[in-house]
Amino acid sequence: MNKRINGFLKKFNKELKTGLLSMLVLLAIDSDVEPSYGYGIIKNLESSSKGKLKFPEGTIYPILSSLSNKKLLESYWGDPQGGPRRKYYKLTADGKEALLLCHGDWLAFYEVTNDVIEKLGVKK
Amino acid sequence: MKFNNIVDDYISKIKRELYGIDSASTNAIIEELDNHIYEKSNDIAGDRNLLEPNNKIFREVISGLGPPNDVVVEYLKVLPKKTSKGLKLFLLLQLVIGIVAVIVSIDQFITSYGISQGEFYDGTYLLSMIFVGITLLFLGAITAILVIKQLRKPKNIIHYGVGSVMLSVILAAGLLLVMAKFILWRHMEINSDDELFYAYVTPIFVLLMVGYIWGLRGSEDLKRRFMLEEFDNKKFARKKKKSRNVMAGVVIFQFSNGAFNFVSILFFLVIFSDSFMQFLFPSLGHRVLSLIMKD
Repeated sequence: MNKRINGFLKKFNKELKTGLLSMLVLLAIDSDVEPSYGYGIIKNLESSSKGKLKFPEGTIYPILSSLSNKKLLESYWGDPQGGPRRKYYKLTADGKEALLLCHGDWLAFYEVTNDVIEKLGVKK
Repeated sequence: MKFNNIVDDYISKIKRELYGIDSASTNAIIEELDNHIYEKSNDIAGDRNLLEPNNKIFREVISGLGPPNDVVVEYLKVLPKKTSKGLKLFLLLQLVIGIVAVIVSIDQFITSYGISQGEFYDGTYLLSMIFVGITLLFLGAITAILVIKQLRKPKNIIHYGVGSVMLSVILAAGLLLVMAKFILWRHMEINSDDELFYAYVTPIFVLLMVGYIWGLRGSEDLKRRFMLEEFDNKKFARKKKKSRNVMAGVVIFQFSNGAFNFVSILFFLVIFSDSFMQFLFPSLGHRVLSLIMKD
């Protein structure tokens, strides 16, 4: 693969994941039975995707900050048994609504994209 | 938490590059990342004792987080920047000047009304005064409003840019107006009256103001684009030639902004000359001078 294609792919993947990661973070927090925290969310996403979802782990924390700034998440510091204190996150009512809407948008987009790909076909 | 030099280096790099973010948020970010490294390292280490330095594990955890620059870029995109004390003081100064400009404009309107009602009615002079009054009212009010908005929402740095431009425009235009008057009179030996001069020169300066506003707004946008490019693509660090261009753009912008602020200070010196006092504060200035003369 030449350098230009590699650069294009990197950018494509980055842009593809940017919005989706926010939705997946909301989903991971919503599905967590235990209180959610940064590293726990990362582990949850990794195990749910069976290790197929690759992303720089450091990008999850700014996403958590951004979602907190938008009042979609609430955060608080807590002391787990053993180890340093953790910053826990939980979904607000707005966060729950945003997650449902994001999910709806994603399903619609996924369907349309697949339809287009199916109709046009990718020639090898 | 201090447990390894590699980790400390990584954390301190992030801390250093998170400039412009308030210290409470920075500390919370660092604590969260520190904990991530600690917990993941423990998970990888399993039964092994992490107190023994294990650079391999720490390197693996840090590479999973991504380069410090990437982490910082993502944070800078979402976190509000703090306003420095110096900038706050400068903004307050701008606010005062904006309010003064509005007061001056009101003074212009009061005098215009006086002229329109009085026996020394002069249509050209009256029109020129109303025109100057409207311009000062508009620019002064916008300056004050934008500065207040900037003080309330420090994230919107563009407001600072526009407020600064407006202030500079008001002041620089005033100074140029006075300078042009003296230059014209001296070199062209025009023995004209003030009214005619202001009637012709004021619209030209209003046009200059508009041009200047858009020119500097363009510079501000350019600067922001430079900064975004620098953060997003890290060209700043990788391509030295590009980074020099970025720096040159920022320096030129800052220099031009600084130069106009310097002109503004000169304007303050000029404003105290009695002829200019008469022009800017026709009613108030006249009253003050009358009082002095009486004494």
